[in-house]
Amino acid sequence: MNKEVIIKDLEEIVGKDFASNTAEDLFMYSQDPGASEPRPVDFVVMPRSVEEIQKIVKLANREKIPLIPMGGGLTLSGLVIPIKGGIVVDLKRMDQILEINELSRYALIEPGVSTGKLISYLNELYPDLQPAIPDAPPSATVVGNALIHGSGYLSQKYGNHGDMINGIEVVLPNGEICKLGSCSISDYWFSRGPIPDLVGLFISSFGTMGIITKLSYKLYPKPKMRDVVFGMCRDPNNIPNLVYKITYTDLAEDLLLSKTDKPDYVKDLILVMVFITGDSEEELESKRKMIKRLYRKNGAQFMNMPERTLKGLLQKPQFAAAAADFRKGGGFEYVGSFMPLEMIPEASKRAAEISYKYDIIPTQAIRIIGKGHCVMFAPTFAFNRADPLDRKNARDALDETNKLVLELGGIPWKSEFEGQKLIVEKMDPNYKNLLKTIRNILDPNGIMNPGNWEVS
Amino acid sequence: MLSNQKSREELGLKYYEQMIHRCFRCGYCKFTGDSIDINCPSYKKYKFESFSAGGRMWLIYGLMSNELEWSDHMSKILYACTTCGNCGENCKLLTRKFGSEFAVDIIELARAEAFKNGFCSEKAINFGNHTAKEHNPYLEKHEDRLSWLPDDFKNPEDPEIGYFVGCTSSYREKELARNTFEVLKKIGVKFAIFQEEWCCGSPLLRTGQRETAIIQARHNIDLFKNNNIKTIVTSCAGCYRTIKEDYSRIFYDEISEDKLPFEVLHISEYIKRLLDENKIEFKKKLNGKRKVTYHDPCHLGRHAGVYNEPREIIKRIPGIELVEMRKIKGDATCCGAGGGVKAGYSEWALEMATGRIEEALETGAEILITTCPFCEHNFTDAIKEHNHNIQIMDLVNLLKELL
Repeated sequence: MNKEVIIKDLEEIVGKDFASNTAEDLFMYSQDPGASEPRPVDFVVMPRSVEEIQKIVKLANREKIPLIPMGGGLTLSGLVIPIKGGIVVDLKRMDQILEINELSRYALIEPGVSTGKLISYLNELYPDLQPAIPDAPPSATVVGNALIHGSGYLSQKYGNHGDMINGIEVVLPNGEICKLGSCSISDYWFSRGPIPDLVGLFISSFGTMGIITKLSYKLYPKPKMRDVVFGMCRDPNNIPNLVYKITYTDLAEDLLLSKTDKPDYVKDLILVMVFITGDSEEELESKRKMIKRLYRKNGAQFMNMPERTLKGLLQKPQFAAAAADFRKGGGFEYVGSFMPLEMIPEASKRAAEISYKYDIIPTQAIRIIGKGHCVMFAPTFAFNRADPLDRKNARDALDETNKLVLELGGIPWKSEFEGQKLIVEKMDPNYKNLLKTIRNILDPNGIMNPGNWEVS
Repeated sequence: MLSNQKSREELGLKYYEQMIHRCFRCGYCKFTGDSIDINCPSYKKYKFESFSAGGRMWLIYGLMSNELEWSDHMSKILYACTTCGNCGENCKLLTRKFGSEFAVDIIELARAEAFKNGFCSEKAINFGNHTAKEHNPYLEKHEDRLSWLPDDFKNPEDPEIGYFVGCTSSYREKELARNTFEVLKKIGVKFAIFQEEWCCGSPLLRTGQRETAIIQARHNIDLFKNNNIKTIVTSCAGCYRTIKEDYSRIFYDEISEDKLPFEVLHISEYIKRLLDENKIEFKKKLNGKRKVTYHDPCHLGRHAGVYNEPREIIKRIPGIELVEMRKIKGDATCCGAGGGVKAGYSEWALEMATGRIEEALETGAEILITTCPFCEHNFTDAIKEHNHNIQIMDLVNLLKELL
């Protein structure tokens, strides 16, 4: 690889100011706030248009150099840190909200649009509409989150955020532009069907299938009022039934559970948070009563929480980054995992044991996705970035928890590449073959974020 | 105290060594409070993560942990920042624990390391060297500092306040110095102005030239003490921030129980106090109804929390309607002049000033009022460049006609 030639070519494509291979700029892209070890990056480039991306892809094919598409860079699991070096394609300059279709309720956006920007834009111009967003800082991108099967706000009611994609425009690994979904036939980006649904191929593929340049994202009606009804449950075995009963009623906008062993008085308690919405105080009060009754009848009890806690939970997005400093060290990663609801009691107990083994206070978040069709179970591991041993400790805990999740029938979510290897090991051989075949056809030079989802 | 019982000046960046790695790089620092807009001027311009405050924290930590070395590009990253304080204002993690000033403080201490390692710009070093000799960064002679002052003015024997004029007003925005002088005379307060006043040290502190800055600062403190000045009034937001915040931190840090031996007021705080005490009033009104908007200087607003006093004064002026810009107070867009950027990146400084003027024009205001001669200077340069149809005025220049 002739680095001087490549940087000149990149500068020619995007302009001198938006391509770099300086040690300082690369340092930033060689690591993320998660527990992955830093890995070398050769170049970073910030395109502004689809045409520029096409040219970058063609260059990468010519030079056989990896491309790593990047949104907000907040997956925590190193998905945009190159595994085999290459060019990080930072998409944040492509940050235009192209269209809001108010009646069909979707937003057509570029990949660099942050969740903060979309929320604020809608608040100002379309106050009756809202997007689903992750429990991540507002710099997380909407497209990045949707493409990793994100979850968070509105997941209980409407499913995981990957399901909210109506269609995409993608620059394929050969440099061609392809539109998927209704947009391939119509001017309206309103649906993924009724045609063979190829959009799924690009979700949770971590940039291995192409670079998404436009995405249509579903929007939802925004209720006038929101509140949280707090409950606590002492016996984790009651959780599946409690969740089942609450989701049966259609009362909850979102349903979150959390568990931590510090301070001591909350140990052995599971905090239940049912988010409710309404157009009036009467409606909210009626829902509060019904949730409280469900708590009583299903092994939980209602509890009051301080106003400050309630306010924090109702923020959009919630300020979840505070967890990153539990060990006064700015490092944080978690095994978000998709789990079947029935496995939560055992998963919670055994994940806590793993945490203790690695001298980490067990702290778990559990988010219900799509009325309990799936649960996002997230044991979290904060660590001190300044202490390499503490970072390794977190990595070991993550690895053991990934194995636990797979043993219990779950799947680690947006997993770092070591976790992906564990998933691939357990994957049905024919699925693996199909995946490999598709990738070889789409990307014969293996330029797209290689090392991820590698099937030998 | 973050590190140990050594002083912050003695420790430099090491003062923060137990916390700097705690930046999670969540990115709140890049945005306005409502996250709708990128408000970090440097990140907005350069786009790379390295040019955000979080990026700088990680890079500085990389230097401290020897993962990175000093280089021209590192220097550019550190100096291409107006130190406007939007980062500290919006950081949700570390500000909560260490106060909003930590981010700018770390960047300035890193610039001090850059200076020591030979990575400060020649231009900044030149004005630093000049300040060491002539006590101003404008390459002017010290003896001309008060050339704007009427010859017949003499300091009273028992002044109630000292007016700290500052270098920008002394040499570049002399109208502000003259008008502040006139306003103080109209108020009837006994005030002193000192030929022996030296640069407050702000341009040096912002560019990492701390040693020379501290000499200037110590001289000024001694000057005020020796003349028994109990209240300092400044008409410059930069001087105000430096004397009030930096002098306190440098000479009276957490180890010392002493406090700055005088009160520091920005002229807007002083006037507001006198208006509240009914000691002054507006005797004239403007002709016709004038629509104005107000720009929060970073050094007065985000750095010192003075948001309301200028607005309260403006609202009380007969015949004036204050219309606010979209981004104000903690979310105010930086004018682009601060942190050594006006000297080091003059075109970019003008770009930023132009952006802010456009925000002002959106309000329909005829006058853009500010309370910092450095902001005024940068806005005026931008207006000359683009011929915008708006007048730039320091609040004092408006008040002079009305009191």
